[in-house]
Amino acid sequence: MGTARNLLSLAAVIALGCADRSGSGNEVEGTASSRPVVAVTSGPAELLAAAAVGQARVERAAPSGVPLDRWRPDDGALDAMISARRVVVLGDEAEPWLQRAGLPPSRTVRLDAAIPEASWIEVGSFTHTHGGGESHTHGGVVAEAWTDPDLLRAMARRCEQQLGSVLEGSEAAAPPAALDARIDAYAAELRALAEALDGRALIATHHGMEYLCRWAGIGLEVTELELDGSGAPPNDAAVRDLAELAGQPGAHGGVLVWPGRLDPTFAEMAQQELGLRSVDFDLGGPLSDGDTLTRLTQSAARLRAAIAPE
Amino acid sequence: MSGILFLAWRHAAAHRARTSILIACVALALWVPWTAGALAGQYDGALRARAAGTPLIIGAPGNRYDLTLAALYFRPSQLETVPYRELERLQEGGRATLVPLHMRFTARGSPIVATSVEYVEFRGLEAAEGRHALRLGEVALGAEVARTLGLQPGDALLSDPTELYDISRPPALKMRVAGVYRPTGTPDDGAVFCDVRTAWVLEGIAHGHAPADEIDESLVLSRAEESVAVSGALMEYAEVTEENEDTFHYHGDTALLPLSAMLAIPGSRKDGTLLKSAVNAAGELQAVTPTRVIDDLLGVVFRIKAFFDLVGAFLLGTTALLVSVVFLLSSRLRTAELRTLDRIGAPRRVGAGLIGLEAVLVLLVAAALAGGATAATLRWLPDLVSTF
Repeated sequence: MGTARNLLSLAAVIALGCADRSGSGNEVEGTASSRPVVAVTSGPAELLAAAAVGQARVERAAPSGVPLDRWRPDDGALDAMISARRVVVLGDEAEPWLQRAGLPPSRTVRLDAAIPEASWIEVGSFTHTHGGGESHTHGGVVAEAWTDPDLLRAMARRCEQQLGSVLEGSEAAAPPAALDARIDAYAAELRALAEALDGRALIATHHGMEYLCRWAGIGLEVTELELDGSGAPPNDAAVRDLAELAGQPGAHGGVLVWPGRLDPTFAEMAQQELGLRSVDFDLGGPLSDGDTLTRLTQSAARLRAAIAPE
Repeated sequence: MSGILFLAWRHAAAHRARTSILIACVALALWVPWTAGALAGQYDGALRARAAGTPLIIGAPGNRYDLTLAALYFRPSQLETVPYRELERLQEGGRATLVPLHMRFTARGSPIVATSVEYVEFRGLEAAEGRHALRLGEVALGAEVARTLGLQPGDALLSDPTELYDISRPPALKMRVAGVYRPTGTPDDGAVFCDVRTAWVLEGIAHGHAPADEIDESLVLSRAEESVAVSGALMEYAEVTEENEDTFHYHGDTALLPLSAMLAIPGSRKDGTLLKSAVNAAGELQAVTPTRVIDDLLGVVFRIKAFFDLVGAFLLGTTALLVSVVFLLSSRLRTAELRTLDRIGAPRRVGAGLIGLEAVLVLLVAAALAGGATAATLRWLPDLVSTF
């Protein structure tokens, strides 16, 4: 009897030892299979996660239309993120709430890790010190790196690599997405925009255009008007700069690009007094009805159409 | 036979003081080794169970006992810190789930264990009330801490200041209690858990203050277009609230933020072996298997226990000899009684049986008392493992 029991135990041990562990990966035991697959809080993360595992497996943890730098997760959103098998986020620069929320590091895919240090664009840094402490800088890094087609490709590769093992044995892999072709189309649109400008600069109200302009070789002048829709007057210095830039015909494309919220009152004033036609440009950061790449490509096409002929 | 038992009982009862002293002596001589043995067994089992439930611990090179005891039992130590980027690097390797641990602070005497939600899942901690500490400035309490301090979700808990008279050090942080965990009978019951980012606020590496353009001019030492030097008298927020949460930020490279140690949960035994050897071969960190460290540690402890076992054996032997002497002398005093038994025709062995039975009665009662005392000691003694 004792021998039979020992043999049974041995068989059970061997069976357990031979069991395929690939499905559970390195997950903390007993938690993976019941989780939603991927949670996202931004448009680029949704785009890249959907390309890696399929749109149906991507769950939005943030509402649509809320700017990334203003959103803060509530308890429900945090629960959705920590209970997902993976959370795909852009990084601290684009999503400042990440500095203050306890996401599981082993299940969080940070897309900013795909960006080489030298590729980041830093502008207008603000440095200060506290007494005898070291000086330090707030902000200064432009977050919208996904608007650069090459950097978007790098993010896509990382996302695919990190989400590669997230699907379990019984779950079919995502159908191959034509992401590369779509990025190519966006890149072609940026090239067309650069051709339309023909060496002239773009004037924008926000630094979010930096990456795509750098990629396409477009000169960019930024006048941060800081119009937040509250009715407060614009930044005086930026208005003076804008007037000065507008007064240099042939140096710019005759448009004022609004990567953020377009202020109709100021847009009207810019058209009448400075001769600048306002164009809104959706950088595709927040979650929305359309995906980030569609919004970026359409924005670039709209901007190209608005460029005044030379 | 029942007659002899009755006579032995009556004799023992008639000499109550002598019998009580004998029982007390024997019970004490039994209680000491029994309790020590049971405690050692319990201690050994609990220590090994905690260690066996933790596949790998990774930390800075140094004393492996310190590293293991700090990571398993949150013992205060002077461990060198590990930069957060090491956790990210090892995580990228894909061989294990890495769990951050930061344990340099206390709150009202209880260790603050700054970690991530993976720790909660790994240890099977379940919220009895509220939820895990997921936001900056939130804590979730082990059952014992909540009971001792009388705290529940929604209450506040202050961290213990590290340098009371050094105003350049961050002040105590007022933390919100987000939840209380169910008792586990492990050191987790005596800990205060928070997200690792909260520990960086306690370190002073992350902090919140009024925006630079809203700072009182009397506190501004110099202001240039792109920089503002601010006096050390600028008060940092000592509590993370909904209103000021967005002002909290890190300084420097987040990849360099400090950790005390990491728990590694490998996907398989092979992954664990490869990860351990890779970490130890690189030499910048050390990876230890807690069971081996605890085995080594207990090896030393149990060598000392063997000595105490010997002392216990001597104590028992000495007591047995003394009890024998007492019964021998007692038999001399009972010569007249034994002679009477002989004269009324009782067999000769009745006398020896009478004394032997009384000795057995004493031993049985003493053993029962010692057993009860041992059980009571194990029941009421503070849980040494959870407060290791």
